[in-house]
Amino acid sequence: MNKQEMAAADPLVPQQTDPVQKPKRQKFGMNRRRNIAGTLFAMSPLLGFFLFSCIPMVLSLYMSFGEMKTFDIFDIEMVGFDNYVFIFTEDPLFFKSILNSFVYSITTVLLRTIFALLIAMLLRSIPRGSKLISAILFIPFVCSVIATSVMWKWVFDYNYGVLNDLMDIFGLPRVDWLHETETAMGVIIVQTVWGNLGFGIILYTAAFAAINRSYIEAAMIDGANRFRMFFSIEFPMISPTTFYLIVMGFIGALQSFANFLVMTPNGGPDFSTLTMVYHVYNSAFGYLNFDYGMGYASALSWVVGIIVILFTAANFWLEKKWVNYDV
Amino acid sequence: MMFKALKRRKTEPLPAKVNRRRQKIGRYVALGIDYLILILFCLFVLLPYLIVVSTSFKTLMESTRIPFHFIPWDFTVDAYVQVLRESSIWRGLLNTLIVVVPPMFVGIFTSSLSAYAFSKIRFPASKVMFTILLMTMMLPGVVTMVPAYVIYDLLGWIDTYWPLMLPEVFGGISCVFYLRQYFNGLPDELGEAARLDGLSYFGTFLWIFLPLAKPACVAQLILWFVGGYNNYFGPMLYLNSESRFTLQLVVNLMAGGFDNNWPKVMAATIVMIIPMLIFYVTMQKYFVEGIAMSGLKA
Repeated sequence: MNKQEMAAADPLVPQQTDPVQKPKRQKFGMNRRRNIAGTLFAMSPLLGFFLFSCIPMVLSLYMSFGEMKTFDIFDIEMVGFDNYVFIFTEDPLFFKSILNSFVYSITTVLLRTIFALLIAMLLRSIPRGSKLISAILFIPFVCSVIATSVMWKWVFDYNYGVLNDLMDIFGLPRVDWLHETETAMGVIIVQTVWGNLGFGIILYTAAFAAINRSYIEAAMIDGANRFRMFFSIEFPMISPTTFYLIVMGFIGALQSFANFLVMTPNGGPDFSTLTMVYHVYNSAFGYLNFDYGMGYASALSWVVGIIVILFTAANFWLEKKWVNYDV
Repeated sequence: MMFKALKRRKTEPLPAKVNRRRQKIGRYVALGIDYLILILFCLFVLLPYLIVVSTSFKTLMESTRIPFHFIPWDFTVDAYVQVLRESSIWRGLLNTLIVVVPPMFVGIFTSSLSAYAFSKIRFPASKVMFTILLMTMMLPGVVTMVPAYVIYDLLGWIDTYWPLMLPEVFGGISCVFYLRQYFNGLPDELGEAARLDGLSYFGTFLWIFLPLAKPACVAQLILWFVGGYNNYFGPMLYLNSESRFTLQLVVNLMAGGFDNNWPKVMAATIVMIIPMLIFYVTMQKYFVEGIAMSGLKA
């Protein structure tokens, strides 16, 4: 197709030839080219999703109704709903893992959001140094879970940890933080909040910068104090960011377990750090592999997935009550 | 209204000079508290790093001294020498680069092509496809973990790099969102002009929009690279032989060893995060932009 034909075919070009003679088909053809190009170009992430998420999901659904102790898909024995029944009636760790996941997610998401908001507000009120401080607070974000786990394991180490040195100074007994049922989860919560602070701060800083100044000026003229200003003006204005942080935080936190895996192998002391996805992992690849197997793990992953979806949906339902999109 | 405001002002005490000074002092105190809180947070964030750096410069004997002290008495770089002499570290680094870099470039290309289509080409399926893409972000990834392994096992891909590389090639969903946002900021007329000059849709993308989107692509490349470099779970799941281990796995293996050579483990950790820190310090702007935008679109 040469340039002239192209121009003739393009609806944007003022047509030089007789417009009546221009067949409709040609225009449609052009549109079709556009449609094909658009669809093809836009396709790849969807294709990736189809190949690497959809197909596995279908397979997972199939596997969840069978018993499968090896990785060989042909070595499967269909057992109907047995796996699902076992999850809710007999699995001793399932409800514990749900509770752990929710404790972990709610604590980390709330702490992260509150601290990030607090810091972003403080950063806004100081005259200088805010860039440096936010840069420092962001550092953990670029460090891998392996690196941060080495650090925090060392901080909380029973013998050599700094925290136990502090306990000594205050005359308190030393605690084996990572191997005690009561404290192991706390350690991982600290690690997570520490690692994710910077992310929230960046988002909040950007959100504060985007607030329309005229609202604030209007409130100042009306004599609003700092608290009133925050709760009546600023918080509603940044509520979409808060919502984003909370929703994405929950989707991530409810499914997180790489840090648990590195910090507390096999679910921690008395399974106090066993999260939902960790339980799935243990059933499929971990020490429970011989008892539970891939079929059971698939069923478990569906239950976990549905819990996450329901929780996300609940968040979106609550969104209408407090998130404000009129800027 | 006006009257009320006037009336109220009248009842308030006039700001005297003393009062103003007191206010000024109050403001300084408030500022001091602000700084104090921020510095405490900074210390909280930096403390683990300081401890690790300090330990990495100690001798093995000194590293297990109780209580902990920050300044090494016997400053030594032995641990770093040991780590850098370790061939597994270098092989791990090389493996990481092999796994991450090539699919990253392809992935950014496909992501931006897709973002361009969503932003600049009006095609009927656009809305539906974009909605599906949005929804996939909300889907829990846990469901695919088990069956994906089964499929890769069936294909004989376990202990190869395929499961780590191939999915990346199709582009990242968040990357598409970010780049689409960027393309939306570029004028449509550019594309139209190029089309008039006879460039195909793909040509328009390749020669007009992709060069213009370079800063956005760089920002995404950086985030992508950091994510890939730091990825632990994927390699851990799919790689078995130590010769194929990525850097994260190598360091994890070292940290899990029984010899308890703490300075060496700490030095390996520092060596592992230094490239990312340099990356972060030099390209901070891109990090911040890339992340800030992901939140603003919400």
